[in-house]
Amino acid sequence: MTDVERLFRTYNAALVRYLTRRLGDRDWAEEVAQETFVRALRQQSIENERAWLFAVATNLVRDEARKDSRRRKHLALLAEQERETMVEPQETTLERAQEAAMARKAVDALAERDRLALLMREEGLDYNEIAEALQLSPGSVGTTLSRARRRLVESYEALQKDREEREKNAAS
Amino acid sequence: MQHPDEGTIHAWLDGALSADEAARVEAHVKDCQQCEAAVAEARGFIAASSRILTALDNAPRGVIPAAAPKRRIDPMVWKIAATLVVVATGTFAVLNSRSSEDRASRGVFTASQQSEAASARSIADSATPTTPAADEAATANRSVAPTVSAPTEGRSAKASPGAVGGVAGESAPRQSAADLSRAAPGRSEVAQRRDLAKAPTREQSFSAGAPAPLPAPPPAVAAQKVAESRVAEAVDLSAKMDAAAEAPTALPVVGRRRDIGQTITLYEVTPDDTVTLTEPMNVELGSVVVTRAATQAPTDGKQARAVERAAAGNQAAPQSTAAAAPAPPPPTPSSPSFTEGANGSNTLTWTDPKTGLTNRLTGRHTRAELEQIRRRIERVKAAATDSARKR
Repeated sequence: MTDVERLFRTYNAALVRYLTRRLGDRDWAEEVAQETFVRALRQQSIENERAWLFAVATNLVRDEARKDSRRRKHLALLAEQERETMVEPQETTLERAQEAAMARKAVDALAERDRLALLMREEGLDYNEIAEALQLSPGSVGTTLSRARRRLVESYEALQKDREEREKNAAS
Repeated sequence: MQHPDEGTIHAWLDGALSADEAARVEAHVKDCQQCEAAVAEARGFIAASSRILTALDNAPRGVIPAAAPKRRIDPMVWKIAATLVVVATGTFAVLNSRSSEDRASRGVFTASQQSEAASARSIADSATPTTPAADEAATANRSVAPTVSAPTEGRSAKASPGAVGGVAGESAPRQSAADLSRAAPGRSEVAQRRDLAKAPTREQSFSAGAPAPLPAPPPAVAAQKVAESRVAEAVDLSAKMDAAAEAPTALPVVGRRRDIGQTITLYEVTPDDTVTLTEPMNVELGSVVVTRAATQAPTDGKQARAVERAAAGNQAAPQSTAAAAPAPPPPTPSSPSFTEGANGSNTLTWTDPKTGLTNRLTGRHTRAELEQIRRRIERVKAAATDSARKR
């Protein structure tokens, strides 16, 4: 197994999920993830792989992913294999679609740094990795995360309350 | 100890604190109700935000992430296959019924229409150098091939596109056997022949063109009978179905060359298999009339004349100019000799009863096959003769 394959197999799922949550589009997320691994190939050595990958992916989202079709093909193949092992998401119901829309709204309401820190944490990055990826001081990561979580939950609950009231009004 | 801030509590819950720090926070929270509540709240936020973020995983994409994409494709493939089967079956059924409708409607073909067609064909015969090809198509129905396959019909239609188009103004590249026979007016005649075939002697004298051992009716009477049988045939739908079912494959002519004293015709049996028919030309027998009557198809002309003679011979003495009148006709046309060639190319040699000349059919076929091919070619020629006679 080449180094890039090992990197891919280890981190692709988390990276794609992170990017999907970040971007709201799975195809785009996969594209950025692939570009991230292409970038990793060009690196001589990476000290903290996970932090590096998430940082690069985050920057790529900002810069718009560039294309490297030759290597992308190989990675797309790997992604295909990976996808087969993934659990297929349950059928989308109206309820789930509404939840997803509210979650998206709540996440978008976060400050960029809070959002990224939270999404990285969800993918298992530790505080040092998050600090490295986002160029924060390790001591501020806890504060960033706590703020992100609180705001996310509060705005989500607010959206939920709005919706319930709308439904109540519609019913009466 | 001071109350830990929210960030520290989250860091503690996330396991991000050093062992010392974690121990201190733990000790404090145990004794501080306020901080205990804060920790509980933080746990709630952590769990809730995790759950909220999970809802984002249901993100749209061009292609839904598939656990097993191949399995997903399978039902679609089956649907497409099933659709194709249904469409193909339906098309076949429709075409089938349509062509039998055609046949039925053509059954109302009147005698006058038929004679028109016949005369049109006669014109085509004289005008078209590829007359035999046209006639092959025209007599397609007469072959003994038991089944009709569409491609073959298409091919026979294509083999004589000029003639077919010239006769009936139809040049559709792919014609059904019925269409073909309508265009090249062999159809009704073919069926007529089939009727005639019930009187074997007549049929024989007709195709053999030999002075008939049994007296044939005079031409006028024959023509009338022909017309009658045509009308009868036109009504007889089942006979038509029969004829269509036995619609044969005409042998396309792929080449013809006239050497001194002989005509060499190349017939295509299959796309990559041809047979060669070598027919000597009856030059010395002046055939003054013959060759002029059909300069472009001398063979047909000869045969036509032979038939004329045959017909005339039944009511009157042979014309004096008919120098080519064959001497005692060979008893049967089916006594050919067979020569095996060294390179797998065999030759069937027989004497044409009409001309008394020796024809040779050469090809990579067995004797039986060559004889069958010969019969097919002779039927074609008989049709040509027939039309020439009417002219």
